[in-house]
Amino acid sequence: MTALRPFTLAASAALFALFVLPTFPSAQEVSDLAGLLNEPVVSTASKAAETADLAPASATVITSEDLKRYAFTTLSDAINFLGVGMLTEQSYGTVEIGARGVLFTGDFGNHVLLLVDGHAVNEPWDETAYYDQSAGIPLDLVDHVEVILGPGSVLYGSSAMLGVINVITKRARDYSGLHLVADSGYPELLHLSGGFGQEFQVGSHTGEVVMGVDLHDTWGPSELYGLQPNGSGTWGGNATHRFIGVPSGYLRVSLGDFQLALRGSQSTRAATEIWGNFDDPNNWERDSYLSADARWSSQLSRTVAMSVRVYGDLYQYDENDPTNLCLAGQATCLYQNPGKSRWAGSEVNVSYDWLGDGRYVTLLGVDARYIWVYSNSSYTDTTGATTVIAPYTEDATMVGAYLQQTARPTDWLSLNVGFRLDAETDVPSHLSPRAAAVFSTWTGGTLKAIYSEAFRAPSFYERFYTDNVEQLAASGLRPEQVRSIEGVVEQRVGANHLRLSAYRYWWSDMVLLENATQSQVETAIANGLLPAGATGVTIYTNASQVESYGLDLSWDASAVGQRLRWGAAATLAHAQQDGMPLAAAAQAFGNAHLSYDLGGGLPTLAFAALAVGPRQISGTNVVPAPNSSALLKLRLAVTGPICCGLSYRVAATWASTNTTAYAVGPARDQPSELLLQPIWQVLAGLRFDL
Amino acid sequence: MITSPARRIALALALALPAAGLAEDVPVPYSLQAELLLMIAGHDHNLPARAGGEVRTLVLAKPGDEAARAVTQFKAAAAGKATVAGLPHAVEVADFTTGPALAGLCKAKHVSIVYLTPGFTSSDASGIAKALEGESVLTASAAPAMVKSGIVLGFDLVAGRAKLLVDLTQAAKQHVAFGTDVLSLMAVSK
Repeated sequence: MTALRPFTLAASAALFALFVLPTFPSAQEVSDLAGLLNEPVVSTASKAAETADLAPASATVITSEDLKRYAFTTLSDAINFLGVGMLTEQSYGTVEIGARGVLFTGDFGNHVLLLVDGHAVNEPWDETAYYDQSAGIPLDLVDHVEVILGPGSVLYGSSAMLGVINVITKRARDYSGLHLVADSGYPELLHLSGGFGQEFQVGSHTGEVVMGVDLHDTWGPSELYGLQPNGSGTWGGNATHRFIGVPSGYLRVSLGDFQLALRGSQSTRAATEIWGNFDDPNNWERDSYLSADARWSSQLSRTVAMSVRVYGDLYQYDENDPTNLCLAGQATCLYQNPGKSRWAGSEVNVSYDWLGDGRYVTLLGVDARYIWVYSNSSYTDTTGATTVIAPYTEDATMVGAYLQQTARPTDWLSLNVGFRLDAETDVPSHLSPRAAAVFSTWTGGTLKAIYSEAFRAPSFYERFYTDNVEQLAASGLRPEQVRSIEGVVEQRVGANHLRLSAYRYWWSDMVLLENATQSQVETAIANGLLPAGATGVTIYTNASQVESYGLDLSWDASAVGQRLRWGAAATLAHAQQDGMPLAAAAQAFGNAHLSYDLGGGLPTLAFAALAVGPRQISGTNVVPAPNSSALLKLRLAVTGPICCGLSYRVAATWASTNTTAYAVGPARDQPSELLLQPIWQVLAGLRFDL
Repeated sequence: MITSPARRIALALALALPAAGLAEDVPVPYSLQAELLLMIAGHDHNLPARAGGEVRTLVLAKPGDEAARAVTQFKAAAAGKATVAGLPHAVEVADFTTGPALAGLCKAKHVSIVYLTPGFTSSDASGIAKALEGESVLTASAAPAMVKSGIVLGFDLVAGRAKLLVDLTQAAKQHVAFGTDVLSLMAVSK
C-alpha cells in the first residue's frame, strides 16, 4: 500500500495536469486565440477572402514561414512534406503531381491548375505546368501557397481537375528592402536569388513594387544504371550528365487599384533518361514561359465590386533528342519537337453584395481569350538535312462565363452554389457546377458537404500531333470530366486544428493513347496521312474511366506562443483506371512535421517526414506491373541569424530508397531498371536582408 | 489632340486613377477581425474596471463604400458575441468627426473598445491617439498601418494567416494591459 502511494500521487498529478490545467480559463482562451490566428485565410476557392473552414472546398495553406523554417527550395518539397492530399513523384527530369490516390503519368501537370497571383500558368499546347524548380517561381517572393483539393473548374475552367494551387506573392511591406540568397549543396546545386520590395506614394495613391530573380541549377547526381541490351549495343552505365537549369524572374507593381505583374522562366533539363539515348547532354528539353497580367480592382459602391484583368502569355517547348528512332533511311538523327503557344485575353467580374453585409453575394464573371499554337516534328540527319513532319498552326477562342452565389443566412450555415460554362473552338462546351454547404453547428467545429465537377479541354498536342508514321491526330476529342462528392469535418480545439475529409470521384472521357481502329488507319492511308501498310498506329482517344475514393486526415497545432509548431497529414485512397491500378499513384501517403523557434538569436529547428506507400511502376511492359518500394524521407533543417541582416540555413534530406516508380532504358519487358534519385540531399546557404 | 492608342490609354488611366481612390489594404475578413478583437479584449486586465457592468464596442466610420461594408460586416459579427470576458456586450456605430469629440463620446457612453473601419488617414489616427491618452479604452484598426500612427491594435494578413500588431506604448497610455501570454501571439510595433 505504501509502495503504491508515490505512484498514486504521480498519477493524480498527471490526471490533474491532463484534465484540469487545460481547462483553466485563461490558458484555454489564449490557446483558442492561437488557434484562431492559425486558421488560414484563403481567397482561391471562391475568389473572396474567407477562413479556410468556411471555404467551399478543402483548402490548406503553406506559408512563407513554413518555406523558410524547413529551407525548401521547391514547391514540390513543400507540398510533399507539409501538404494535405497532394503528392509529387520524382519522374524524368521533373516531378509529376497527383492527389488523393490519382496521378496521370506523362500529363506534364495538366490535371492541376497552377496559378501565380491568380494568373494561370498551364499553357494551351499541352497544358503544361511544373511543380519543382521548373515551376520557375522565385520562392523567396512567395507569401503563401493555397492548395485547393478537388474539382475547381467552377471559377477557373480547364485543368482544375485534381485541384488548384495558387501561389500568392508577398506584399512590399512584408518584403521591404533588398534580399539576397545563395545556396549550395549535394547533389551539386547552385541556387542564387535576389529580391526587392518597396512601397511608394504617388499623390494620394499608395503603390508598391515587388520583384525577384532566381537561378536554380542542379547537376547530377551521378547514378549507376545496370546494362541492358539496346539494339546492337547496350544501354546503361554511369550517368553523370544530368542537368536542370532554371532562371526565373517576377515583377509586380501596383498603384492605387491597378496592378501589373510580369513573369518569365526557362527550364532546361538534360540527360534525364526520358528518351532512349543514355546520359547524353545533348538530349534535352526546354520550357520557356513569359507572361503579363494587368488588373484593376475596385469597390465601386457599398454593394458593388469590380475587377478587370487583361493578360497575355508566351510559351515555347523545345525537345532536342539525338536518337536512332528516325525516318526510313536515317541510321541516326536529331529529333526535335517544338511546341509554341500564345494566348491573350481578358477577365471581367462583378460582385454584388445584396445587403452590404457580405451575407448574400453574387459573383458574375467572363473570361475570354484568343489562343494560337504551332508545332511540328523534325528529323535532321547526319548531313544536316532536315525533314519537317506534320507541322500545324491552329488558333482558337475560348470563352468561360461563371456565376457564383454565396449565402450566409444564419451564423451556422454558409452556402455556395455556382457554375461555369466554357466554350472553345472545336471542343464541345462544358458546364462545371459546384454546390457546397458549410454548417458551423458547434463551437470550433464545421461540417462541409461539397459537390463539384471539373474538366480538362483536350490539349492542342493531343488533338493535332501526328508523326504521319505511327500516330494519328485526334481532332474529335471531348473534354475529360470529373465529378466528386466530399464531406469534411473540421474541429478547432484550442490551438489544435483537426480535419477529416471523405471523398468519392468519378472520372470519365479520360484521354489515352490507344491503338487506332482499322477503319481509322484505312481512312488515314486513303487520305495520305499514313504510309501504305502502316501498322502499330496509335491515336489519342476518350477511352478511359477512373473511380476513386478515400480519406484525408490532418492535424496542425502550435504552442509556446506559436514558436513550437507541429502537424501531420495522411491520405488513404483507392483509385482504379478501367479496373486497374494507376501507375505511380500512391494510395497511401502522409507526412509529419515539427519545428521549434528557440528565439533570442538562436536557431529554428525543423524536422519533417514523408511516407509514401508502394505504387505501381510506370513505363514497364511487365504484366501485372510490379510495385516500387515504399518511400520514407526525413528532413532536418536548421535556420538562424548570424548578424547584421545575415542568416544561414542548413538542411539535409534522407530517402530510404534510391529508386523511383519510373522505368528507364529500352528493356521494358522484364523487371526494369528504375529511374534513380539520391539517397542524401544536402543544402547549405546564406541569406542577406538589407 | 489625342490621336495614338497609347495616348488614349494613358489618358484613360489618368482619368480612372483618381476615381479609383486610395486602395487601402484590408485583408483580414471583418468577421474574423471581430472575433479576434473581442477575444483579445478579454485578455486586457483593465477591461472589467473600464467596462463596469457592460462592454461597449464603438464601430467608428468615415464616409466611404469600404467603410460602410466594414461597419455592416463587423457590427453583425461583433453583435453576435453576447458576452465579452463574461460581461454583457453591446455594439454601437458612430461617425468620426475629431479626436476630442471621440474622447468625449467614449466618456459619455462608457465605451471600452473603439474599432476603426477602413478610410482613416494616419493624421486621423494620430489625432485619435492623442485625444485618448489618459483615457481607458482599447483602440483597434482594420488597417494595420494605423498602428504606426497610435492605434493600439491592428490586423494584418501575413502568409495567409491573421496577424496582430500592437503598440505597447500607446496601450500603456490608454490603460490597456495585455498579459504576456497574449503578447507572445502579437507582433509589437513599438
